[in-house]
Amino acid sequence: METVPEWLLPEREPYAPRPDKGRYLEKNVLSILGTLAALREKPGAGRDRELLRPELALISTFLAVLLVSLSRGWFFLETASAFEFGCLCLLRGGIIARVLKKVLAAGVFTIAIFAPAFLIGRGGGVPALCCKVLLAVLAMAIFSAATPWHSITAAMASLRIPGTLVMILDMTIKYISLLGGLLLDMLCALKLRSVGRDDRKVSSLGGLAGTLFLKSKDAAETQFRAMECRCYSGNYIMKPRSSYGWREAALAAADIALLGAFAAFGIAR
Amino acid sequence: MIELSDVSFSYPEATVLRGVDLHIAEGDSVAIIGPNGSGKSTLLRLLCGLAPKFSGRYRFDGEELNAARLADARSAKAFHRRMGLLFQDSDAQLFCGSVYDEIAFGPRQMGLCEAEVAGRVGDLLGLFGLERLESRVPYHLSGGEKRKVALASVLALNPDAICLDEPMGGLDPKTKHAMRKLIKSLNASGKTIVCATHDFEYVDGLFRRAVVLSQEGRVARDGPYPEVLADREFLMAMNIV
Amino acid sequence: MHIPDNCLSPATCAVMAIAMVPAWTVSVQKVSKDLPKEKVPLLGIGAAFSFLLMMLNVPVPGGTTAHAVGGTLLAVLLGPSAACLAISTALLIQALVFGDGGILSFGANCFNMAFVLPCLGYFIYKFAKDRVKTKRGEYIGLAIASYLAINFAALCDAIEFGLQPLLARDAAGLPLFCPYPLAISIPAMLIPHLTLAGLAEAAFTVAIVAFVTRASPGAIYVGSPAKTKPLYALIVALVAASPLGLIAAGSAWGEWGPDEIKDVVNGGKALGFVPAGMEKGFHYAAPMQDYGLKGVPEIAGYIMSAILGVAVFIIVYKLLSFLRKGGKDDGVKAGA
Repeated sequence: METVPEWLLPEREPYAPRPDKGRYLEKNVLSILGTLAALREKPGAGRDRELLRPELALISTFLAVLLVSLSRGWFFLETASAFEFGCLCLLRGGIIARVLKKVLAAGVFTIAIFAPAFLIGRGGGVPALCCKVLLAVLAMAIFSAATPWHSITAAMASLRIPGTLVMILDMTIKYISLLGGLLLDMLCALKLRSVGRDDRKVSSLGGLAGTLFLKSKDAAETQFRAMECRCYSGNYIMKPRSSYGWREAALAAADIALLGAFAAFGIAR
Repeated sequence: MIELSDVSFSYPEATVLRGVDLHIAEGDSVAIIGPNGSGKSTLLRLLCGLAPKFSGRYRFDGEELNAARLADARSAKAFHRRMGLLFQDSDAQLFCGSVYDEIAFGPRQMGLCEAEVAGRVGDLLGLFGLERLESRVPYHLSGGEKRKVALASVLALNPDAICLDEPMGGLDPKTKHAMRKLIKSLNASGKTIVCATHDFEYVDGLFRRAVVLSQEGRVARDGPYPEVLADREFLMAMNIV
Repeated sequence: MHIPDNCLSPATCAVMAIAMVPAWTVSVQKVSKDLPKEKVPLLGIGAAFSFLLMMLNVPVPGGTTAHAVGGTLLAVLLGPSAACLAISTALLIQALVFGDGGILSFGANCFNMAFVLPCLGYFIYKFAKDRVKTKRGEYIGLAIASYLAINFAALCDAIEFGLQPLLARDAAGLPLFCPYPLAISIPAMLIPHLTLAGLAEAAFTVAIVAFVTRASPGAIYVGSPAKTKPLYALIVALVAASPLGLIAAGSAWGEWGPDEIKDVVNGGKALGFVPAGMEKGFHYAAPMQDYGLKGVPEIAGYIMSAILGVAVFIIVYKLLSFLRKGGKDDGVKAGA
């Protein structure tokens, strides 16, 4: 049996940590945890599983954001609000809460950024601008919260986006989860050993990120070899989705109505 | 030293630990065993303060340990110095440019002078047989070498208790034997050892107690290690063997 | 640095997206040539790495934190083309999966963070690396490259914002999108990037590259020696763009001459007088006052001033290099 050095025997004196500024480790842990939680949450579980064909949801979202951006006047913005809140109210309470939290945060930030425009005499357009920004954030938040990520990549495939690009997107999201988990463990390990003052914080974080890069590179090579072993030929084929139903028809009708409202009220005259 | 009373912990998607009662005295050696997904790793993380949002009570050395105490940087650091964790994945624990720097990281944080740091690093390199790897980059070491460096980097802080998450995982038999000898020495020197493990063959005789977690995350049994491991029917019912 | 939707007009967004098409095309071609087999997993996993990098809070002096983008870092590690594609993918995932960043402004965000930032950072770094002998010098070059690149990308951001009041107005003349002119958007974007964000980017980039260089030098992208032709192309482009400042009416804040100062409005009131120090102070009549020449159109004057300024700088630099080498010339290299 190896002899344990004397200093490794149980200490009698309490330890007083040296003071250190900043809580960057805690911030990082929370940030990564939030990302992983967002990926782990399954909005598609249970009755909300793919309420809609995701490519239609993506097109509708893009259309809403574009028309809001192009529009003039308040009436169309009200119409767009009705459209978006109408979509929001169909979702589960937990998703609604998440979406509204995001929109609220965006709202506070937007007002803080654009309110000073009043001081330079250019505040006239700010209320409409803030409304547009919030409607865009709401549309994107509803789409991302209500659509499982694998459906988003499937939507891209349905929209005839090249299979290789879709595979890259799929792989990106999967590895955000995998590498994110590793990064979280590394941040926790660093936090556990940060028992005093770290005079080289950026160097420590750089070591973490550098290790993450090396793991990414190794993972990429391993992934490629695994793909080769399974006869990857450059094609990424995704299973065709189910057919269109009444929900898709309803959304398409709502999109047409929104376009009509834009044509009637949203264009500057 | 460690007292958990009716502790439960949930991730957003599932409850992992339910109503766990656990008392570990100073200098004790406890094996946490259970099927995959029973919450062994989560329990170790909770013991080390990485899962602060638990319900129930956790007292460490007579003092309450909760989210508020862990949110205070000074208290958290003082606690982390006393409670070490060896992660299941050694790559998560190694981020310095050399083995020397990796082991020296903790002592430098503590404010020890460079001579003391060098002394500790030298002793640990000798204890683990890593002298020839001193200037090597930890990332490129073998699995066993990484595990040793990771453990050395934790021991450099001289913790009072060490949690080991699957310390034998992925190691060859020779390295497993070496790890076993080391754990025995550390416990003999007074360190409290809490170890999550599946490697019953290599940990036989290492632990005084075994705590068995069920698939639901409850403590199914807590008793002397040889007794628990001898009850094959019970272990089969728990899906452990 | 992420631009949300509705801060830029749809027309600007469309232009920036179109501007990215050649960048993406060239990047795809280059990546296909350099990494024929492993490109697909490396791009996906590289994009995941880029995404996670952008989430990290980097500690800066004062106990606070800032976010780094890691554009120069990715260009150095993966090559500028792979970096462009990886960052673009990360930005797309941020917008679609997490609802962060805009979908209309995706092109503009990619232009700033996936094109300008990594390409400029990589080019400056390679330019420095091919000319310094020591590792320390190389890391200083890398720090400068990443610092300059993120600030230039922030400047692009600021210009895109600041042009909106000129490009998109309603019938009453009010800005429809970002209401801040260049005089506000440029300092507003640059000040945080010249200070915290730029320092975080530089320090973080050097720390990671230093670690990877030590741990696994073979993991770093090795490109061809930096050609100086692109640098000259950039200088020519900047010279041609120098009359951009003429779009803004009046002088930049703080640059008023005695003839303008009394009309400057502050707190709703014009100053109304010329400060005595300005009226009776030192006046220097420069040969090309206000970058102009008598009788020559303003735009031409600006371009002439830019050409002259760049030429004088290059002449001074070459003279100093000549003197530093003890009066010996290097052989003239093609493209140098």
